Amino acid sequence: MSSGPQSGPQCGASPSATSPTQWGAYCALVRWDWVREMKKKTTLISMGVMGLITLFLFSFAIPISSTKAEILEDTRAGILWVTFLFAATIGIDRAFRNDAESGLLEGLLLAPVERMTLYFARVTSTLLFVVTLQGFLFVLFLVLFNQSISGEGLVGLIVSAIATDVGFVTIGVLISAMTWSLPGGDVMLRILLFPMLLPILNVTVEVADRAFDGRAPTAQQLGMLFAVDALFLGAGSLLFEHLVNDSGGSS
Amino acid sequence: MSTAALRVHSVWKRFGARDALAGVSLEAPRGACFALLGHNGSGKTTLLRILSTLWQPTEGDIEVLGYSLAKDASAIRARIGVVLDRHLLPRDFSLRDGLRMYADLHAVPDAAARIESLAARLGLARRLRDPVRTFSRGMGQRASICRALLHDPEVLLLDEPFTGLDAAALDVTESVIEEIKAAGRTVVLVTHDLERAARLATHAVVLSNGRKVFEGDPVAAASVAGSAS
Repeated sequence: MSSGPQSGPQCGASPSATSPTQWGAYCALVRWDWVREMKKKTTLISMGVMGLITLFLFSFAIPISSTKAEILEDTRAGILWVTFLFAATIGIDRAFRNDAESGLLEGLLLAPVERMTLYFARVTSTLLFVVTLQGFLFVLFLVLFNQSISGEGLVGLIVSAIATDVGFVTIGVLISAMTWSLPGGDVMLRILLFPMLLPILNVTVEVADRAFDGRAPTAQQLGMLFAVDALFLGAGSLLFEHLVNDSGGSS
Repeated sequence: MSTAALRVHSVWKRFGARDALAGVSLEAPRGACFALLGHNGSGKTTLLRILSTLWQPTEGDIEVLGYSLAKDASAIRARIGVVLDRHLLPRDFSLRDGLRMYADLHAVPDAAARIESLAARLGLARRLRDPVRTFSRGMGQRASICRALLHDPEVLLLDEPFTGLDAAALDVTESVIEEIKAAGRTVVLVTHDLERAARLATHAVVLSNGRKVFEGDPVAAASVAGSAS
């Protein structure tokens, strides 16, 4: 057997462990979430495939021809966001399910990290996955549907998309923590999540529509998106701890 | 600061209509090796999971190292190490990366050296690069002990640490527990291995149907637990 630390009993030798700051723990959680995803890329690939399939189905359903251009003009913003939503929901559903099933969630809950820190870290990493995916799907959408977008419209679209994603992921991760252990939890997630997103989806689709016409979002539209973000963030920080306490099944 | 490592006062845990714990009280001094014994379903694991902060008691008060479980759970988690029935490491990571992740969460200084030394002590030094998913049950158990010891916890909570280990691994695990005791740390040991419990523990409690039925000498406790099962 090789020797342990130089002084004192091997396993009790103090490495002078200190409690991490919550910020340090948050950064570590986000970094390791990203490293884990990059190892296998299962979540990103699943989300990407779902997005691809949705875009292809829409491209078959809605004819891209000069005579029917007005149909596409009326529906393109909706197509884009329905695609984003379907694809991103897969990542949100997996925010806790995989970790809970493998037991890793218990390990994270045993770390000296406030539950709120764990929640915000998981929101951040899921948001990173969703935004990465959206960038890829957006380019694909422009190519498949032969669309273009001007500078001001693009900036407005990016700002509104990020504001929408924050609200979407914030409430989605919270509902994911609520549903992962339920039978049919993946379906339940969608049943609970989609109706809650209707207010921001309405606004963000309008903003996307304006963006394709080269117009920036109005202050009222952005205000609505940020207000919903604040509401969902507040709900998440209040409720998450109660959802993960007593985690890991019964005795 | 309290001199007791653990103070459990009138703790109840209900799952629906069933009382998994019914008014359990106990106190473990610092530096003790405290065995929790009892048959399946007696409430041992429930109590250990509550002490680990994973579960909340339905009623009652708990202090670990003087910190209230209700108010300072995060401070408690920084000072305890927990071994459960699963290793809790990311399956697709190498053992080194999995331990590194937990070392980061605990802000362990000089984590690389700490990981090397613990893995060597538990006979896993040659498996540090291997994915955790390739580990046998016994190796997973030893990896779990490595994870739990990374931050040099003041209290170590072990749920059936001897399950699935071969003879050599049993000896290593037992000697590791002895070293932890010798270093003045507190150990809480949930086990069905009454012989080992009697040998390792300094204090013992026997639970039956969620109630404490014996507290005292580990050898006598093992005898009570043996006759109750």
